Amino acid sequence: MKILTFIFLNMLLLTCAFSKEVKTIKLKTKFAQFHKMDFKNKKNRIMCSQKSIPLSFEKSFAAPLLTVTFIAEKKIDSFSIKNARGIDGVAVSKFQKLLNQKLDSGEAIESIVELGDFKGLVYVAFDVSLTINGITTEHTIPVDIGTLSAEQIIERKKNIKEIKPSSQTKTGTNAITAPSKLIHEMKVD
Amino acid sequence: MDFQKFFPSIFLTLTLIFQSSCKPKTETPAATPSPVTPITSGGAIHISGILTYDYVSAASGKLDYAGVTQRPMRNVYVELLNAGNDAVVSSTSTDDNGAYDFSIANGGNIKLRIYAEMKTPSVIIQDNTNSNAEYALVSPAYPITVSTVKNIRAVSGWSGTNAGGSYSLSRQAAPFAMLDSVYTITKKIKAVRPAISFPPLKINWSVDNVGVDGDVSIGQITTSHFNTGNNQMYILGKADVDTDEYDNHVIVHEWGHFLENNISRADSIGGSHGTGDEKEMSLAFGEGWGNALSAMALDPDAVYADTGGARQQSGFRINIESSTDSNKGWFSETSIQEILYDIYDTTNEAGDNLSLGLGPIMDVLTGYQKTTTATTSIFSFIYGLKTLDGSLSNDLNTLLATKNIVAVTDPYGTGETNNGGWASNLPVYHSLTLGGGAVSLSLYGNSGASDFYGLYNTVFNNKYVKFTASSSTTRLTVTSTDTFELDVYKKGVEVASKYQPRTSSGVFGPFVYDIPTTNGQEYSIEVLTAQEVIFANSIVNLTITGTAQ
Repeated sequence: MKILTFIFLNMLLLTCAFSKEVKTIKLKTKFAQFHKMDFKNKKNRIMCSQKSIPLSFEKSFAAPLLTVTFIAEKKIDSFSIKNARGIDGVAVSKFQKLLNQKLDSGEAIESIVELGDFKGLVYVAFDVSLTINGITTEHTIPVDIGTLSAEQIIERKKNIKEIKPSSQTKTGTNAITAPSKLIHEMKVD
Repeated sequence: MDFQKFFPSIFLTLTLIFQSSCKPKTETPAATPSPVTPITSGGAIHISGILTYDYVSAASGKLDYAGVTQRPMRNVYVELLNAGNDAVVSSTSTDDNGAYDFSIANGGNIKLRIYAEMKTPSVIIQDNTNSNAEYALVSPAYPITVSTVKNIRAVSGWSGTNAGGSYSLSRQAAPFAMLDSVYTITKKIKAVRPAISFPPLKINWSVDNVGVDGDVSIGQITTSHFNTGNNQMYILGKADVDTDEYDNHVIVHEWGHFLENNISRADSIGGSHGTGDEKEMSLAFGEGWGNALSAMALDPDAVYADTGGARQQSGFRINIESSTDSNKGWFSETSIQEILYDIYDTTNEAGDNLSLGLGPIMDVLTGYQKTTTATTSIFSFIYGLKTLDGSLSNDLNTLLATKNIVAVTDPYGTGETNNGGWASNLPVYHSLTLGGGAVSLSLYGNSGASDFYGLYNTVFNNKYVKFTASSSTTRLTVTSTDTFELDVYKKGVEVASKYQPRTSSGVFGPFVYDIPTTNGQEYSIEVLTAQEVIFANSIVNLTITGTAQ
């Protein structure tokens, strides 16, 4: 009886864990209130290159599933999610592509991908293509998961060096009190 | 019982402790630093050479690691160090061949520290993910007894083929590639207008810079961009996602924003934009200018390329000379970039009779465009150019006509007939007479069937009104059917900003604003809304009246 109960509980747990399945679909719901931009932040305007795309996304992560909802901020003639790749130490174990979807403003695509184990801050890169105003461009949209680990912080800082004022600097009344500065040192082999 | 057999580690530890504590202590003398041989700058011994970086072409829309070439590190700041204590012996900047030459009076061990920095103009490439540490390439120690040539190469760090390789080494070339793109455009401008000086610039780059909207100190910089808040550029560097260090058109485009914001004037409200969009006119001008400048800087390479994706093997290209322009007009960045590039270039197509080079363009940007009472746009730019040289008028009108823009007669777009598909987009500027009747205008807040128009930075959601003040205070009275923002500018400088959100179906307005003004001065009012902030899905209708107080 105990064994049967154990098996039943495990099946229940597995069912719960995978109630969200790996898929990429166009949602029927239209997002009336999507990505809230700074209405007009004049002090901190971001002026960016041609790669800006009229898409925002929402994400949620419940291991091992990452759910990303891409929301069109204006009409997109054709939108394809071609691939999802893990960056910085995470693997995408399951993903479903979705091609050539027409999106009106506020319409969304939901993509649920299954990830392998990871530590720290990692990214899942979605390779997408968009056709807007008759022009097709390809982009990679990164989605962040997790936070920087102690190991990642140490790794990032490993080439940072503080340069102190030179010992050959003049002393006395004409002393040069140059402040120390940080450099990101790249060593020539 | 064999105690050591069962508890070997404990036994060993105890043994070590015992031995350690019983061992007579011998004082180890403090290490005396070996004396450093001073190296004196100036003399007969030369240390010279050529500094290069690996240049990876983005011209095909993919990074071509197989075709990597070495380019000189031009105008790069270099220090000669005493390898014994890293003291700076001497410093210099490389010439246009990447050459440096130090001389010392005596031999010794030296090192070279090559900064990702130019002194004139001042540009520094720094790591925003590491306390803004400046990138510097450091050589090994070289024993020098006679004049010696030391050529140094900053490598891309890429190993393998385009299709199957990866970054396996430090990406040393990246900071120098960005620096060189900036040097290219600054040199080109200085060649035609030597008096122009550029303010200091810091460019933030890291291998961890990624297109996520988050904390820039961990690399989440949203995208490659110029930030007006701190006057700095941020460039993507995340391999297999999006790297821009070799996308030299992208670097110059962002630098174009820096130039516009510092030695010209940028009224752009920023935000998402792209080819074929109908945008607010100062945004369309700023983005078109950035693209056009990238083609001018890298002439004859007029194809803007932006690479990314797995192994940087995907991306897109835009021909600045001629590309699909589905919504031609004063609101199209594509139209703007092609007009500006045609004014510059020597290749003339139908409708393009101009080949002015960069000089006159810089004259307008640093002159009329900077002081115009209108919002910066293709209208103010062309009017400034006509003011500079009236003989260009016919050719400019002909060129504008190819992009469905009427002949420019003033900086306000008076007489423009291209409404971009919505009658309420015209006139470009409404004239408000103080003490006279109300100006009526409409903003497209609808996010319904014609959802294309709803974004906050489109031409549909931004309207302009001008008035001439006749007193020290001007009262503006505004009625509106929904949320709006009203900004008042004097020659691009904001003198008032009023945001009025509608949150219920109750009475909304009218709203009365007293604006500080100067008698006789002309003011520009920008009125805008967005579908994100409106209360109801509808076109927002406003009236504005003005009186002198």
